[in-house]
Amino acid sequence: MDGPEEMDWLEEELKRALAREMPPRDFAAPRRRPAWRAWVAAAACLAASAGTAIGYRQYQGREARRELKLALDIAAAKTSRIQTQLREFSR
Amino acid sequence: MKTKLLLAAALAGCLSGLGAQQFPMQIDRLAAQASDKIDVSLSGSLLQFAAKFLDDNDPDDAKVRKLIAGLEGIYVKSYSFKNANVWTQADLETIRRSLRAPEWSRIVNVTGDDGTSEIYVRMVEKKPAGVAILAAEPKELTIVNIAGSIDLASLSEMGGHFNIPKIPEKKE
Amino acid sequence: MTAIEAVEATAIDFNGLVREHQAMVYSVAWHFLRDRPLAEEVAQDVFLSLHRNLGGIESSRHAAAWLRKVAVQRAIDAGRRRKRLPRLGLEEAPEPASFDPRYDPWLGESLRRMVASLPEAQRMAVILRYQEELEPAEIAGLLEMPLATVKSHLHRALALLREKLERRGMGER
Repeated sequence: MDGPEEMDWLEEELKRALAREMPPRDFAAPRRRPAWRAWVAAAACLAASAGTAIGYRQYQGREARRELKLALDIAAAKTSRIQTQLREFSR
Repeated sequence: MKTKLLLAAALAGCLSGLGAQQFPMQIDRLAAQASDKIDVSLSGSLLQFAAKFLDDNDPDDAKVRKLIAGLEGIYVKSYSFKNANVWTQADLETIRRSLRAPEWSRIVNVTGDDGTSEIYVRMVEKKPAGVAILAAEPKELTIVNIAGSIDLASLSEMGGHFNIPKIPEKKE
Repeated sequence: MTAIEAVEATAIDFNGLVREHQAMVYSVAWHFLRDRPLAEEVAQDVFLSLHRNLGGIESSRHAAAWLRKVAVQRAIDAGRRRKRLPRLGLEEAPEPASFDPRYDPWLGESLRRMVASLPEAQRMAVILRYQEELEPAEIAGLLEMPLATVKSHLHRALALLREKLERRGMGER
């Protein structure tokens, strides 16, 4: 138990019993990212590094999109939670 | 958990929008004590701007575009705290004061040992014009203000959009 | 790195972090709570917090430590909020048809149930020691308790588990 000392049989069994498991649903299921988006991102990088207004606008737009998705995710999470509570109550 | 439920209207359904609404959502005292804060403020013009950068070839982005089609604004304030019992009923009353009749109606109120969840609908000329959500949990307080047309049922399905996993259905 | 590359990189890093650490986060919650839907909910909550705090994450190692700490906190919070604890008494653990010390298929499940029935502080200390293989000093830092207290929790937990196993005829080989 105390660090580098050899573990006894129970501790070894606990390590086996408590081994990590993958969640039933993969939280990191890959999203489809069309190849052209990477191309657009690269083109936008070029424009941004040249200091053009187009590149900066792209950056602002992506930030706005990210904020929008974050707001919707939070609103969705709270709404979904309330629905779950209502369902539990009505059982 | 004792659950007290007051249900005045169905949760799902479309609400038509007639104008943006704002109400005080900032609680300075809580903002100062929060270990983590989220503050999103997207008015109509910013929403339209963000929508331009949605990818219609991406199914998730397409759902977002459809959901926000009738929106005039979305505002979120979320405070997380290291310890419980930082927010008080007085803080919730500060928010609720702005969400009173005749303009606002509370349609859902779920109260239990783990906090309070409330949904309000804003009425303009007897028509729904927006939604407010107040979610108070032991270590978190979240206020959502959605101005305009939104389908709450579709919104609750949006969880998992930005690779943040959905809240799973409780298995029987 | 340009500003747009930074935005793209942030999205990639988050996905990578989820992929790399979802087993750890989920397993802390699952072994502590013994409730799979609740463990998934806790894990979602943890990754939502990560998303919010991505700007403050300095490295992959920092992310791992941060995620472990938040997972522990949220699992403990969820356990306290829960209506009913899964107090699985030992009598609910399946009886082995015969006990073969070379291979006991029930031992792992029995141990998991016994761990789930430990008091909160002992339970989390055991999970961090044997699932995450943290040293007692690391556990003390994570749980914000004295090192001596952590050692005491581990000592008592092991003694209790050993006693229960011996009573069930699953004692030391």
